[in-house]
Amino acid sequence: MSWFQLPLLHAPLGLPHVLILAAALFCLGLYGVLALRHAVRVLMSLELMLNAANLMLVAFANYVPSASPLRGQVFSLFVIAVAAAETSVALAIFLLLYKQHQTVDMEKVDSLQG
Amino acid sequence: MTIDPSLLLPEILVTALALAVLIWDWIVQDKRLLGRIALFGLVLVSGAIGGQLLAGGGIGTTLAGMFVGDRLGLILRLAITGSAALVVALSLDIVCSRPHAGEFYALLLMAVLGAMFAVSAGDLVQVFLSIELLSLSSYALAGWFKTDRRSSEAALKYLLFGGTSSGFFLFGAALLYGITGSTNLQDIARALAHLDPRMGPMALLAGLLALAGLSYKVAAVPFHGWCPDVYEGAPVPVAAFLSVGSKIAGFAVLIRLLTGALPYLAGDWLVVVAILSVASMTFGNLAALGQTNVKRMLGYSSIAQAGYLLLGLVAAANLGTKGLGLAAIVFYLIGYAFMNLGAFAVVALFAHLTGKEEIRDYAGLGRRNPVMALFMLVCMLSLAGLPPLVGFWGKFYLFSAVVQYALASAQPAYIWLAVVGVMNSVVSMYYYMKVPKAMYLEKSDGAPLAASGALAAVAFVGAVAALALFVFPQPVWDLAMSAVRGF
Repeated sequence: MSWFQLPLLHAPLGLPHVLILAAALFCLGLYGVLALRHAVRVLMSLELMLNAANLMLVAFANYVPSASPLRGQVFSLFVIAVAAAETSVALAIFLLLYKQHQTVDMEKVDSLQG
Repeated sequence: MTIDPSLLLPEILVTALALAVLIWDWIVQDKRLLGRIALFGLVLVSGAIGGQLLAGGGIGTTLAGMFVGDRLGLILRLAITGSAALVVALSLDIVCSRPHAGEFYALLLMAVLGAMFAVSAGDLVQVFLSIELLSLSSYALAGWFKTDRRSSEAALKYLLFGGTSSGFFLFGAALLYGITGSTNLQDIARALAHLDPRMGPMALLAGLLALAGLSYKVAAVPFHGWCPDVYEGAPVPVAAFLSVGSKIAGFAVLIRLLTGALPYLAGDWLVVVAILSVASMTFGNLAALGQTNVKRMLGYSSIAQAGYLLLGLVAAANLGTKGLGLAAIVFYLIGYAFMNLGAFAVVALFAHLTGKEEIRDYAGLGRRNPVMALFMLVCMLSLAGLPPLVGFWGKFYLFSAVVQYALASAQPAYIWLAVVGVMNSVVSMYYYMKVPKAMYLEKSDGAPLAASGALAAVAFVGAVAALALFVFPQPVWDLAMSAVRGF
């Protein structure tokens, strides 16, 4: 069976598709966090992880009948706000770091031992 | 939705205090009073919580089940505000003379607020929000020495580790919401009780992701990477607060999540928590052996202490020994707050007066300031778990809870956890004793060091409490047992 015969491709767009997308986004973000060295890129990967979870929250709120939809949607709104706050704190720290070390490359910032 | 302000009274007071500090910083030119205002306010809040505890108030849920007021929450919130007051007293000399003291105290109070909300969380949304409030304030605090290269590097590492872990936690929380249809911890437990068995592995994955996100907060292996770097790079008062406040908040959330929301997965998370515990104890203690910097050594020691504390959660997996395990955690957290803050007070004094943090620099402190050296000796012995001090009872309760668990659930293999714990305590003796050895046995020709009143008071409180809680452990143990009744 080749890939275009997979049943998922012929089913109407639903929860499984969104969950696969979310899982892929999360893994992509995790890979970025572990593999990248530039602090801003790591921050972008972090955002991917948070948004993957957000996508899942909204999808569950929409597709799972037993789930209370408001809780998931409100949760995702809170996550968006927290992610924005986290980004602003992170960028401030990167700026400070650049003033001190003239780089935001994590491998070159090594004044702490170990 | 009705809001019961009496349950939220301590949080309202801390919020008002944080705003008051910010406004004072903005209006008044004299910055020396800022720290004293924060200290006075925190003592006041601690008194309010203590009053609620004595009067039996502050019990119930509010904000549509988000906020749970119970005795566990009250006692741990008291521990957080009390240790925050000690941290503020410890910071007076270091912080008030520098620019941006107002921001420091406002951020510290926000972090305290986050920790307090985390302790009383009854809903995944509130767990996430309060942990983020605590974390975001801590990132900024870690980088507060703006001209110090190490401080900004500590902030960077803390931020990246913390952000990744909150991603893990959030993904787990979203999965739990999808599986159970709710974010309320009690509703989650109820839904998991009659879960479709095919969803079992998915629920376990969700629980483990959430556990991973929280083990960063308590600095357990393998999410410990930030801990030594942040302790070394961050200002001493910040490291002191992180070692105590963050740990209390993290363990409170772990207790509420694992035993409150996921008791039906206990057979599964039990194994993972046991592995995390052994790994944290062993790694923390072995890595601390070779350290030369006191703050970094205390960072590795904090990882090892998280390992001991996790033993209490192992015991909580069985209904029969749940109370013992959780009470042992509460007791140890209270004792740990005193002995660790006492040690940090001496580190803060020494770093403030001499600007040095290496263990070999402590040579001759026994002659240069015999009183502070004595306090340091007491705190180090207590952290190592030696008998005339509270660390001994703390470890005794934790290890005996694990042994009781092994006997009650007929799984003798878990007795080995207590054996590993005892062996680790012996290993830890070596590095805790390095500081007293330098202080008393090595000579130096340094001039005498005079301790300021506030720092000496914090060290005094830490050391005396470590001694007093050994002689009279029963009241605190009864308090801890009453806190976990009903879990």
